[in-house]
Amino acid sequence: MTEPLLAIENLAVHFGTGPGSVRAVDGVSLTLERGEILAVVGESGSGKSVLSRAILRLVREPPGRLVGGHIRFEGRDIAAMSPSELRALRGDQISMIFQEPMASLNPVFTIGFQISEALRTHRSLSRRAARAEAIRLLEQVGMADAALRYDAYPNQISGGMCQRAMIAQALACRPRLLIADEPTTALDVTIQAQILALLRRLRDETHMAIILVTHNLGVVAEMADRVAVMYAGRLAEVADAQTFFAGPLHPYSRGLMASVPRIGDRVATLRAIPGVIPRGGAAAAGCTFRDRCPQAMDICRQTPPEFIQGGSRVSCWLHAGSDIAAPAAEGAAP
Amino acid sequence: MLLRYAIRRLIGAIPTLLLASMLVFLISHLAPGDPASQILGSYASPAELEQAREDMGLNAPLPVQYERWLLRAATGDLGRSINWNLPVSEMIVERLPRTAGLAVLALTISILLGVPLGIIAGVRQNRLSDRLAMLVSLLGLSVPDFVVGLLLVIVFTVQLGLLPSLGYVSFSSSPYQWALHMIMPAFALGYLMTAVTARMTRASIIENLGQEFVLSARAKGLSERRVVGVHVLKAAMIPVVTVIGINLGAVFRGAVVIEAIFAIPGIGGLMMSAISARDYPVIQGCLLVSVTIYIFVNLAVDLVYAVLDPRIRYR
Repeated sequence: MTEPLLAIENLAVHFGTGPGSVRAVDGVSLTLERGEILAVVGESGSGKSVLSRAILRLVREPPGRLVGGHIRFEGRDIAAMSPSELRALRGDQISMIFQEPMASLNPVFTIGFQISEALRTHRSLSRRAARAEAIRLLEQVGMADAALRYDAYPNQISGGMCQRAMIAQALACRPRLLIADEPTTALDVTIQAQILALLRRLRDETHMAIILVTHNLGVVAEMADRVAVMYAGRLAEVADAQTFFAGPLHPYSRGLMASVPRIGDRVATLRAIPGVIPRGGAAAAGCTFRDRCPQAMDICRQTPPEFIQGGSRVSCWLHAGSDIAAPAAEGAAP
Repeated sequence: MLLRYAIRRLIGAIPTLLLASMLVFLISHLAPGDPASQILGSYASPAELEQAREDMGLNAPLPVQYERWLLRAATGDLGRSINWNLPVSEMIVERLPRTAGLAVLALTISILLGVPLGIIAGVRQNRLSDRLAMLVSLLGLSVPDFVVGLLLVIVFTVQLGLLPSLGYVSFSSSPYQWALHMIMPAFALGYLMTAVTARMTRASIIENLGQEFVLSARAKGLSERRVVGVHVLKAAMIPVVTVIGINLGAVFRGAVVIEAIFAIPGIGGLMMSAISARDYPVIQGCLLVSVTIYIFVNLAVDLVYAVLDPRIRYR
């Protein structure tokens, strides 16, 4: 087997120092193959955004701090890169798009300028060649009147169009990995579907891998090849999408699934997971989910669960020694 | 697009100018005292006074007087000085370049010092260089300009003997001598503005550094120099331009005192003498010219705005 495109090993990112520090990402290991779409799922504060930013070393230091671990991208460790190596990587081999497309584009420059800038930063292109390529990119992401939109300012186009422009900018240098941090959260539903379809089409055309950070399980079901569930800075479960939706193993994943309202369910209140996510660091001993877990045992308070290898990985004592290869036997409904 | 906006704003400035001229006109006419008796002295006969009033058009109703004054002012005739018996417009034309030179120099100093100081302080927030820059600007805000002027004279003229403390040499006769005479007054005048500009720049840089587009600019692989120097700076300059426009108004106010200290025969000095002599035509003329300049400077600021911020033209 060839080496994966991206291999994150035991990554830890903390905010602040001393006893009050927050372990936003606390020993995460993940791999990503070429052309794969991996969804990172979790509620607010689970550390999924910090993880996605840490891959490109975009977490500001201070207050953030990369405490340990490796981020191997095609064999090179991003965690050990110099600032100039990082700049050469960002926007060229790995690109990123964000939650608020309108705010992610600079309001005082045209979208064409911003796309050309990405091209001219990494490729020695003339102004004219960069313009032509930027217009081609805008067409590729489905922007109507691309040549006209080149000179538009972000405030002159809609949020969905802004996200298309952001994607065009991210694609400019044909990256092998696109990190999308909640790319559709700020958009309305019809636009969401369009943007997701666009991302999937681009993956099929260019064979780039995508890390899709989201809290929306509907988006995950539609897009992901594989799912990683994050909770309080740690991975609760990693499984391929089909297996995951057939029957999530971790009680937290089940809770997430159960809290998605379904048409036809006649319930008076939405099912939510009781309690709130702990502030990082507080639950260092034992399982971070134990206080909210309906199936917590004594051992959950003492020792953090280990990943159990198999078709899926789950960090939960319930599955210690069980047959992970047949997760359907666990029962789909919580 | 920009041209149409400029024309629209220019037309919009006309009512402002009219209102300002009305106020300038009324100031002298509501002030106590009779110009006729001031010119002829207290021994003039009532008939002579009446004749003088008639000659000066002071017996006409106020709106008629305003109309006449405005039409004359529009053609460049601002009347005659009572004190110096010279055409006011000539006096102003002679002095305006001196004040304008001082103002432009002071403003240039404030931009060249204030903007970089603010950028450094904003980027290095709460570190030593930020604290130092903010201390310097706090001094600028709290020490009045005439004190700065006097301190400069004590150091550079009295102690070091490097710079002349008084007088004026025109730029056309000797640019070097002009600069030598202007540098201290311009610095005294520009110091406060430097402080204001630096503080506004710092605040605006810090605010924009926290914006999402900074993160996405970094994610694009741009150098930190380009992120701050291009992306943050252009967005951050919008409020700074406003402050610079307001500063230009403050220059005219400050020039009154600074020109008196450094004996520069400019508009400020003229206004000061005219006020002590109750020379209303001169006061009126000076005010009208300063107000007009101020209105046009603000118009220019708004146009710079439209260039910097694409969101404005569509309002």
